[in-house]
Amino acid sequence: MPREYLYSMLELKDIKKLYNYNLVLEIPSLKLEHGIWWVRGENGSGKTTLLKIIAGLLPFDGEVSINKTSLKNQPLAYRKLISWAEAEPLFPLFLTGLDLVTLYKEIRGAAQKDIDPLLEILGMSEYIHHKTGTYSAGMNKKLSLVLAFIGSPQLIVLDEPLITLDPHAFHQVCSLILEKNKNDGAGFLMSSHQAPDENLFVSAKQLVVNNKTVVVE
Amino acid sequence: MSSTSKIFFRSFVQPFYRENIGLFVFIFSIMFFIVSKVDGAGLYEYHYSLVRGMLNSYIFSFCVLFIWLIYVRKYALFVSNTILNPQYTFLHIYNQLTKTKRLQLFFVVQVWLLLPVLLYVLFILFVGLQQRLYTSLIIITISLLVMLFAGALYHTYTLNNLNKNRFVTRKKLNRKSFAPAFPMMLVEYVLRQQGILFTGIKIFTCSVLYLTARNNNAMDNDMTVAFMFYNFGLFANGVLIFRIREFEQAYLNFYRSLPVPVIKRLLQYALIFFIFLIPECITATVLTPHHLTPKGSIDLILNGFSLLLLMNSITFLYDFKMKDYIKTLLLLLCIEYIFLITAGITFLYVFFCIVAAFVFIKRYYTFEKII
Repeated sequence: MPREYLYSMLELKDIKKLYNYNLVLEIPSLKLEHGIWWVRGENGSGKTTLLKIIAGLLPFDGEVSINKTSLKNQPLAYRKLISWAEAEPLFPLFLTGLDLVTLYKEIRGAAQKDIDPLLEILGMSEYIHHKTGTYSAGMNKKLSLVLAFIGSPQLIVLDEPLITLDPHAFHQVCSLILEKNKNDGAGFLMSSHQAPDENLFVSAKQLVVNNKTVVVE
Repeated sequence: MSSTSKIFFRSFVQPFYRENIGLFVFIFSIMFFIVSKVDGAGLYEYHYSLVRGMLNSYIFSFCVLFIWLIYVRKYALFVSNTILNPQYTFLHIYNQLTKTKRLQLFFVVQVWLLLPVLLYVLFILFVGLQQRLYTSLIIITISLLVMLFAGALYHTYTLNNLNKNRFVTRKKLNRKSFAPAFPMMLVEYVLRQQGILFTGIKIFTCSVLYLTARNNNAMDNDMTVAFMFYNFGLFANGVLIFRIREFEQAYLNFYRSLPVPVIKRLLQYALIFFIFLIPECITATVLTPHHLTPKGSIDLILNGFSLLLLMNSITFLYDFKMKDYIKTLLLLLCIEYIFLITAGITFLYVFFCIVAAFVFIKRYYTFEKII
């Protein structure tokens, strides 16, 4: 059963983002209902910038809020509601995957029993004790996704979650997203150049980043 | 310069000097800028006697050669890491050149990287020839040539045997890491990857503090000179702080999206800087009460702590390049001396702590890396 505190609305208002005085994103108003959102757009259109703004990683002009919890005015409360995984994750080479999982677990107050199945599904149990310096790009990617799934965030923001994954992991991640949405009530905002698998594709609503703004399709 | 040499220069030499500009400013200041004229003897006489002493004593010569060897190890590691860096995989194309050509290219790189030492060696040669100290000169020349050739050979080998180097990296990673707490991750980074710099800074700061404070006694207490030199060592920590920030930006950026209160983040940095200042704390304790008053000792430590905290907060103000950051720190050094003369040390560290906290809280979430 979905939890009661599902986010009903991600709201962006008067968003402006400039890099070196060049406008890259301008969103006068955008309200997204709870669900799975697939963000599309060409290379350099501003997808990652949009996701990083929502994840609280980039400064911007304007206002972002989840269920009226403002990113700028309540940064801590807002960060409790979201989770983030980047497109090409890098982790300190001397840490093990387990070190990072433990860090996230402690900060997000998650239970180990909820994390173990994630590691199992993505086939990470065997190497989670190894240093990330020995991981391949795909293994790093899986680790970043597991970290994003830890705890009970209301909105999980994933930048290119499907790249570098093998076909089996690709389907597992798509199933996990659907499962997390259905059972835990987590919303998703994910960018991807490749279409997700069929089940996820039919469940996802689409957003397009184009001409420095965002439109719902 | 041919295009093959130019790529090597821009891949290895420029980034190395850019990354280590702080270290060079620090060493050049120690070697040249803080030497003042005493009894008519100035900078030239100082270095002349230093070189003479070195050439006359084999122990002294070997100590200097050892320091140069540490420097060679430092840039050799830099070049190896660059070769192994995924961004530089295109360098594999050089494996299609003949071995002699690759060796020649890497030899030129070694010369560029060893240039500060080689320039000083010209002065050593001048003094040695004038003093007819030929044996020492031959030892130094041969040692330098060995360093240059060994470096060139090693890097030619690295470029040609990437899998073997990867194995070395994995083996090094097998050491056990600390508990997964954020401050310990940064401490671990310093110990694993900035160990030589950290040790060098600590040896310098603690030695300076010890030697200058030894001339002091609790009855006739004047800490100004000790404080000024000690502070110079503290500022060298800025290089370390800058590297930590770079590391954080590259590998721990995700931490900013996690629900961790800003105050807790500030306290985490405070803990790290207290850990960094443990050697200075021990030195000050050893000097108390005979050469430092308890208050003077506490002042020195708290001043160091507040300065490190402020230098860290400054890295959140703007996405500095290393050289701009060093310039900002030099400005801070001037401000500090003005404060020291006018307002006193207690006011200084209280003020620095407040500014550091204010800047950090204001800028932590709004800092942005310039693309």
